[in-house]
Formats: sequence, structure tokens, C-alpha cells
Amino acid sequence: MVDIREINEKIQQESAFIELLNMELGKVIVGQKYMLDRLLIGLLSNGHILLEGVPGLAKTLAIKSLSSSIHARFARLQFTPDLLPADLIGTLIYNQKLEEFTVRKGPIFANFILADEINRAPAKVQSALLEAMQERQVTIGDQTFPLDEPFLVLATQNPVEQEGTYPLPEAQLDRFMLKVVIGYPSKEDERMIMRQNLAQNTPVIKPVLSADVILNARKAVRSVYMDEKIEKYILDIVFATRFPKENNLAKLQGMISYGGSPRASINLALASKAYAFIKRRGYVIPEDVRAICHDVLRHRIGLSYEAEAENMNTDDIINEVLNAVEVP
Amino acid sequence: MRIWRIFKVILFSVIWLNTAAQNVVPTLKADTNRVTLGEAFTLELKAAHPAGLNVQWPGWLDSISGIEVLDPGVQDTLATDDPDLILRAQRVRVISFDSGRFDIPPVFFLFNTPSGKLDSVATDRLSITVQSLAVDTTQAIRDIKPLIELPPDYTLLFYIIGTLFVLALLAWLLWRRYKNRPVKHVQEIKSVIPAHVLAIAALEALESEGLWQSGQVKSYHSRLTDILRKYLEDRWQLTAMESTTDELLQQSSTLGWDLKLREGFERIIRLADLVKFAKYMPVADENRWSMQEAIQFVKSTAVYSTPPEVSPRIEIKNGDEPVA
Repeated sequence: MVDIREINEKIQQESAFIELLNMELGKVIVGQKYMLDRLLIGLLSNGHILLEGVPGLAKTLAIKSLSSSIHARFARLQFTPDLLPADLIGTLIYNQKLEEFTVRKGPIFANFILADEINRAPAKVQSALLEAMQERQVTIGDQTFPLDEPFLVLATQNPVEQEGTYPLPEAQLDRFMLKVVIGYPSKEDERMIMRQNLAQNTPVIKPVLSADVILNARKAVRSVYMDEKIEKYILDIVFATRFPKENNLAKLQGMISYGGSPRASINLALASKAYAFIKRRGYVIPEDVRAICHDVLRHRIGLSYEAEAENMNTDDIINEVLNAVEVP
Repeated sequence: MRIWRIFKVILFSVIWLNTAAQNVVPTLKADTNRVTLGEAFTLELKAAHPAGLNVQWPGWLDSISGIEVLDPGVQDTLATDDPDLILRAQRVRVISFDSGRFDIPPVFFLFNTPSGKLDSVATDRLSITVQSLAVDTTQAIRDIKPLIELPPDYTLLFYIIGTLFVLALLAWLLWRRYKNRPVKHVQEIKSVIPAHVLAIAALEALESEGLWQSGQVKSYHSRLTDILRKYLEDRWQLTAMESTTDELLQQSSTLGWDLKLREGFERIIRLADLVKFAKYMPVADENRWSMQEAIQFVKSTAVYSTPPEVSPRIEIKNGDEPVA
């Protein structure tokens, strides 16, 4: 028997750090609440995030600030066409003194990884990173090294410049829990950003959390109560992306080449729990599902040529689905 | 005497052979041997032969050595005094656009001799002189004659206008007949049950089922909010069934409800959300309160003056069935 009062109290207690973290991040990041919430969801539900936005939207600053606010190691990798898997995961180096090969660990052995412009590196480097993301361990030579927890990869890609890029295959995109599309800040926010950058004293982020707090919070997120009605709602949404005609969405028939995978259902459920946690609630409501639905599904739905011809994108498809599926 | 006999035999043989060849007598004549450039003339090909002799009539080409065939004509059989003789003829109309002298080559006729041998005879070669036009060099050079203006031909236009007129007349007659057909006037009356009547009936039915009393609290609040959502859809055409609680409250903020009504509605659906999604177990008073508040909400927002919806007058033509 689930004791919701107990869960609620536990969540209230465990999620107390959210306010503290938001305050610390708010010192340097103006606005971008949407992005910061999604970073936290990824952090709390142990899922990696693909950030898409034009340059200059504080993507790097956000992840750097997040890692600075937690006692954790941060590594930034600028993906380029000449990058090799060994540059990422590490390699074996011959030690002449000891007359043996020793392991040189790569930058992936950090808690927070910023994979900047992931689509600029060739497929073998992308595969090495995505394999580490999935397995949470790296093999160098004949030795396997587990990656430290928390381990969060934030990859960025620029939606504008596509020349000379290696677009991520759908199967690899599916490994990202969220694909967050970042827009420009509001005029008021941008004025604040401008003033802050022109000021003499730039605020410095201090570590306010330990990695253990995050690991405990992850356990608490999993204990957030999700009713059967919410489970059904999630499944209705994902199934509507697969079989639109059978879900009163005949107009989307032919627009979707493939719908959300079972991983989409799992991640939508987990992200909804994390969102409820951020809102300091011990149970999931339909608002949580809807709030995170676009970020979980937008990279998991394939568009057909017909949809592209009509200038539809996956967000339009998700909107149609959400407007057609009955809320419990 | 012996020499005379040999001579007779030779003479007889020659005469016999000559007679056999002369079984078919072909001739080719022109109505004139001298023509002007571009002047048409006629060639007449004739052949006389005994009845029963199989003679192949020669075919004509399109042109014969500088002379063009205008009309090859047809082969005809002419009457003769001798019933055993057949006379066949063909008149060919020809023309030449080159000046000079042209020879029409012999025309060959093939036939089978009485002995079954294939033989042939030919007409004589025919010579035709085509004269060019005499140019009067003493005259000055004149310009080309202008195009001859033909009088306009309105026949086709007359037919088109006539056809269009007939079609228009036909269409007008049909339209007049369609317009003047007998008309029946019927009125379609749709009985529309007002949204509040349906909602209150559903709420009363829910209350009578005694769900929360039997422990089915979640089902009770789910159905209660569904009835209210359906009422909002019917009453204000909101997309209530597909909206979350927050979205619903946002949509309803534009409907002009007073504060007490809004607060009451919000409390009902927020309480239902807690029951549905957070395993909240409301006390009996809360369950009762939700029902009373829901009925009160529907009664407060109902529109009672809606007359039965009467559709505009429909004209039913002959052959159509009136809508029930």
C-alpha cells in the first residue's frame, strides 16, 4: 500500500535543495528557467540531454554553472571532424621506465560532460560517447572502468549550420532522454544579461551541493507516485504517435514515419516524476506529463516527406497528439 | 516445186506466230502531242483482245519520265461490234511542269497464249513536247499580283451560333421546368436537450449509485469531473476533455464567472485531482460537498431560455424524402 502522505513528506524534504540550487544558478544565468528545469530533470532522472539552439544562448554557461554548484568534475569537449575516440575515452601509453602500457583516462571521466557541437565529430567518436552514455563504463585496452556517478552528458548542436556535420542517427538520438530546444531570452531578460556582463564584479558560483545529495534525490524521484491513470495517459500519447489513425488523428496518418519507442514511454514517465519532484510534489499529475512531453518525444518521432512538405515539425505533431488524447 | 513447198511452210509458220502475237492489240495515244507547261492532257491506253484471253492490265506510276499523273482513272471495257473481241481502255490525266520533250515508254501487257505460254506485247513509245510560256521581253517587268481576296465565308460561324442558340434554349427550358416543379415545405425540428439538463441528470444518476459510500471514491470523483468537463464542452464549446486542470482554469477565466463560482469549480477539480492522482481519501463531507457544489455550479451557469432549435425552412422537391 502506497502511503502518499509519507511520499509527499519525503519529496518535500529531499527536494529542498532545488530552491538553493536555483538561487545559486540564478546568480549567473538570467532567465532560461525552461532550460535549467530540463537540466535538473536530466540530472535527477539520470538521463542525458541534447541541447539545440543557436550560439550565444548560455548553453555552455548553464552546464558549467550547474557543475560548479555541485561538488563534481566538469569536462568540456569541443567536437571537431578530426577528433578520435581515444581523445574522448583515453588510451594506453607505453611507459618506457616501467616497460609496460599504462592507461591514460580521457576527459569522459568526469561527472558533467559538455559535448559541444556533437554533430561535428565523425560517427565513430559519436558512437564512443553514446556507448559510454548507455553503458556508463569505458573499456581501454583490456580494462573496463565504470564512470563516476553522477554522470551526465549534455550535448549541443547548432540547428543552423548543417554543412560538414554528421547528423546523429535516430537510434543514437533515442539515447538522449530529452532534446531541449532553446529559444532567445525575452527583452527584459536580455537587458539583465547585458547589464550583468557589463558589470565589474561577475558573480561566482559556489558549490552548494554534494554528489550524494543528487544520488539520494534520484532515489526519491523514482519513489514519486504515479497513478495508473497517468500511466495510461502516457501510453495513450506514445501510442497515438505510432498509430495516429486509431487514436482519432486521421489527419496525421502519413505524416509520421515512426512513432515513439518503448524508451519514449519509460523516459516520459521518469521525466514526469522528475518534473513533479522539481515542483516539490510526491505524485504526478497530467500537467507534469504535458510539461515535459515535447522534450521527451520531439527527437523520437520521424516525419514523412508529406509532413516536411507541409512545413510540419515534430512539435506540431506532438501538439496535435496532446490536443486529441483525453486527459484523465 | 520443192522450194515452193518449203517457202509455204515457212510463210505459214510466220503468219501463225504473228497471228498469235496479234491476239492482243495495245495502243497508247495522247489527246495532244504538244502541250504548254502546266497544261493537263489525257493519255488513252487501249487494248483489244479475244474474249477469254487472260490479259494483265498494267499499273500506272505516279510520274512517268517528267510527266506527273493527276488522275490514273479507271480501266473500262468498251462495247464492240464483234462479240468475240474485248476492248479495254483507261484514260489517264497527266501534267508536266518541265519544258522539253518527254518520251512515254512503251506500256507492256502480259497475257497467256492459248498454248499456256506467258507472252507480252507493248504499245509504241509516245513522244510529248512540253512548251514553256512565251515571255514577251518587250514588256516591262511587273510586280507579283496581290493576293486575291476571297469573300468571307460565314457558314461555319452560322452553324456554331445556331448550335449554341439551340443548346441555350434547351437549357432554359429545362431550368424553367425544374424551377416550376411542385414544392413541399417542411420544417426540421431538432430537439436539443440543454447542456445543464444533461449534466444535472448525470450528476443525480452518479449520486444515486452511491459510489463513494461503497469505497469507489476515485471512480466517483473521476466521473464527477468528467460530467463537469462534458458540461463545459457543451455549454461553452471548450476542449475540456483534452485539457489539464490548469489549462481548464485558464480557459474558464475568460468566461466571466464570478469569483465564488470560480473558486468552487477549482476546488472541485483540485480535490478530484488529489483523489485521482495522489491517493487522497476525502472525508464523507468532502464527497458530498463536491456533488452539491457541482450541481450548484451547473445551475448557476445554465442557460434556461434556449428555445428548441428550429432549423431553417427546407424546401423538399419532388422525389426527395423529407428529413425526420
